[in-house]
Amino acid sequence: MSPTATTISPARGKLELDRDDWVVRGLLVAFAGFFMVALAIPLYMMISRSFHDAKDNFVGLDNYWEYFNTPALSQSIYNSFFVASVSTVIVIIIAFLYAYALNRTCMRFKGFFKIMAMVPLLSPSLLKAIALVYWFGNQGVLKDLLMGNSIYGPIGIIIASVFWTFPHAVLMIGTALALSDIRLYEAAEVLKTSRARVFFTVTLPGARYGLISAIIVVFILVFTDFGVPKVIGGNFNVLATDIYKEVIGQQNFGMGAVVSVVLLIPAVIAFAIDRIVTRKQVALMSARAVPYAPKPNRAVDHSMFTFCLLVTLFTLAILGMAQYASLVTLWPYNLTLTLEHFSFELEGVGWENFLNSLSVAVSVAVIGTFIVFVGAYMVEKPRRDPIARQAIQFIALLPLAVPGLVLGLAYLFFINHPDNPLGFLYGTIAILVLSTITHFYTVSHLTAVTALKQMDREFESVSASLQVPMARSFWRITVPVCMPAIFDISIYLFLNSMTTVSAIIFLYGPSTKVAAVAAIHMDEAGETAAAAAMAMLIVYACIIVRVLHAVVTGKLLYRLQAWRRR
Amino acid sequence: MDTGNASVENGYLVLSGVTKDFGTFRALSDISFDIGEGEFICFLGPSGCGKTTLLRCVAGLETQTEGSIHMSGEDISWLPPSRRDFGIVFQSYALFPNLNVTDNVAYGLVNKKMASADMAARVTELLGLVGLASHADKYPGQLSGGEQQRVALVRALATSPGLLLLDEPLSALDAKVRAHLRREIRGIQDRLGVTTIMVTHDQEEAQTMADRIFVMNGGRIEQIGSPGEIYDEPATPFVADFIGVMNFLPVTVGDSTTVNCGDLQLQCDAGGFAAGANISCAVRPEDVLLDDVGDGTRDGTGDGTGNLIETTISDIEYLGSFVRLYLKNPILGDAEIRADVRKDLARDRGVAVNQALRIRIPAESIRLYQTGD
Repeated sequence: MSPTATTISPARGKLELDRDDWVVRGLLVAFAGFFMVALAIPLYMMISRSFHDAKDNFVGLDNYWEYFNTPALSQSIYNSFFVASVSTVIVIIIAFLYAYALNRTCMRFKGFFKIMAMVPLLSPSLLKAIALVYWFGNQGVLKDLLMGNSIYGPIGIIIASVFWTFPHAVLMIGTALALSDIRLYEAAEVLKTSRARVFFTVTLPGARYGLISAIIVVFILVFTDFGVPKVIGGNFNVLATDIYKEVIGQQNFGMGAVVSVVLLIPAVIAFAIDRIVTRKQVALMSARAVPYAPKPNRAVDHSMFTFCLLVTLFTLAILGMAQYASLVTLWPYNLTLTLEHFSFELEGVGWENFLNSLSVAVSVAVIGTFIVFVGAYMVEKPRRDPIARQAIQFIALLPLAVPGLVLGLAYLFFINHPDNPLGFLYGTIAILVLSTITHFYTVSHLTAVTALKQMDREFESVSASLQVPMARSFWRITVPVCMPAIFDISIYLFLNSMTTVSAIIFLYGPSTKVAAVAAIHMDEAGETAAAAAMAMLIVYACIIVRVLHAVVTGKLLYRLQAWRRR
Repeated sequence: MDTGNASVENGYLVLSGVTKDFGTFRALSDISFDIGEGEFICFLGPSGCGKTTLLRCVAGLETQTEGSIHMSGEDISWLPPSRRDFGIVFQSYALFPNLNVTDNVAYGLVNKKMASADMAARVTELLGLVGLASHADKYPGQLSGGEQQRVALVRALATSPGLLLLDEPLSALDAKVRAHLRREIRGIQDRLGVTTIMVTHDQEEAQTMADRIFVMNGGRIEQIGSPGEIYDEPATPFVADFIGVMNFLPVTVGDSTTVNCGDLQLQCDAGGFAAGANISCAVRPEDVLLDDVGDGTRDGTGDGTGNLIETTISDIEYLGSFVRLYLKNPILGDAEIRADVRKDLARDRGVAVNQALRIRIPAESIRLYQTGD
């Protein structure tokens, strides 16, 4: 008699869990815990704080009532919307033309222009503001161009915002324009369609989703940015600077929380719109599509070249002025060059800030990349626990909707709560690293998920059939194959950690102040040249690391990825 | 309908009452069969018939909603894939792109804590089996599709699994390579004697490779049989239609030896049906004979039992060694009868569109099916 006659299996049931299934479950729980601590609890405490007074009594909507009845405060809502909208319109037009030139024309020096478009990413947003002050400020070189208007205010905020959000917009629109089937254009041409009509019926619809995403992302970036309005906003208040003033200036944490919620809501709504709209996106590029290859057109190519050159000159003018500002003895009276601004004489500021920046950025790049990639793997690859994995995926998308300043304030409430056992982390590098990883989690996560989706879905099935543990396949197959994406994530995290101020500005301690925050403080104290010098240190570090990264990863990839070569 | 009577005691792989629901959609309903050790089985059916889902249930990559799976006497119904004893080859090959051929094949062996010399010998032996010994150091990207498929095959066989699962392994290859690999896979399977299940939508593939074919449709097994049985004695209209080409005529049962299609009376064995029942009459195109002489035979030497139909040729297709004629008759309305005629016969006869043609359908070539389901 066969043994099965004695072991009657249940008619319905679930697969038994093997060791890998337990590993996955353990990790999913760990990630749930991570997001509770890193995002959910802090945000909850901040929102809850906006309903309490200074003595922690529940006061309902009183704080909001007060906020909306203080014109000085609620005026900022209008101001924020105004600068964000105008900046978005301008940057989208410029970025679209630039991306179009890169992807759809035979313009010369495309490689150079591609790199130049990304240059603003290497510097903190406040650096652009400082450079604008030197160009157009009260003692600026080109002050007269403003015809009596002041750069301190909406004009300055908009110009600087356009400049620093430009690379983001070019990246997103460029991706949308890069993917196009040339057959659509050939069909249009055969049907004798005019160029303009082709543009509005083929080109624009094809890039529609990339454009919508770019519009929303740029809007959120400007709407929630702190560095630019802090330096160049003057008396023009926006929501982000209000939070800072309420918390740092007036120690009015309750009102800080209220403004944060006011800032958070539009960001979340915009983010939700983006998710809903882009979910409808269907792949325009089928496997059989033939990629678009532009044909030479003298007039278009030349005018696009001129346009890109102008944009690039503007980029160089901003960066160059910042560099010059950090070297001039006393603008505009004594123009002799000096390195004295790099000695950072101001109280509480020095090279150690720069070293702190490096520690934070390296830690975020290493730890963050690891966490993000493992998290994306958990979301994408296991077969079981689909609900838990979808929940993690959803939570991983949320940080994008949370402005850095809001996240920082939320952490402040969280870490300073008397009952929090993690309170000892206040002012440490660890809390700066945690907040920065969380702040930049979403884009890194999406990059990792995209890379993982491109891997054959059956690798895991094959491994299981060969009885190879998941961890071994992860290290042996998944990580090497995804190495380019892993490097991309690490450099993304490094550059952003170096240049960000928003989440960190509420969380640093006396010994952990980072360079970008120090630059803000020096600018506040009127030491603009030293602020420029500190910001330039960040730029140097970013350039060096970016180049090193390119060289090392190029070599490493060449060695590790011999299999990519035929 | 013949779905086989599964008994846990006999087979090497035994499924009983396996059902799989995706939400409200029933992908598999009440699948039961048993497979003997060393058999080569094909799950054959159109896309969406549940054949891949069934294979994945056997592998543990999907979990059946109900039912049990036994392999080699052991209940594996609720075991995770890692604790089942199978090797699998996917349509996409799923070769690890960053590992060379040797490392791909050895991937499952490393885990078995095998001595490295034994492992190397095993890999060499396996690569020899598929004639890829000289490609041991190449990466998958440097191999052709057929070579990649062979590597995937020996990777799955490396650990000597008790069951080999092939999920449309040849679909991504071009026709010539596919025909060659069919024989090669079958040859290796014969030599190693490994019980094998292959999923395919290609009836030719199933018929050339399988010991037994499980024809599936709508989440059910329609028929289990040898390639010959499936073709010659299709159990259901679906099988008759899916395997090869089949003419269907709507008919009414006359008596136990005749059916009527309008005014047309056809002799055949209608014993199993009630007189007056509306049923379906099926004839393979190659069983439709030309009848020039008019005595009920093609060449004047036959028995002349009738079943003559006067038709007009409406279209002609040249299909290599034979010619397919599309034949019309007012009784049939819009329906056409397809007749396959050897090329030389067609040429001698000088077939042309709009020509009148008398055909004969031998009584023994007619199969009758219940209609309406």
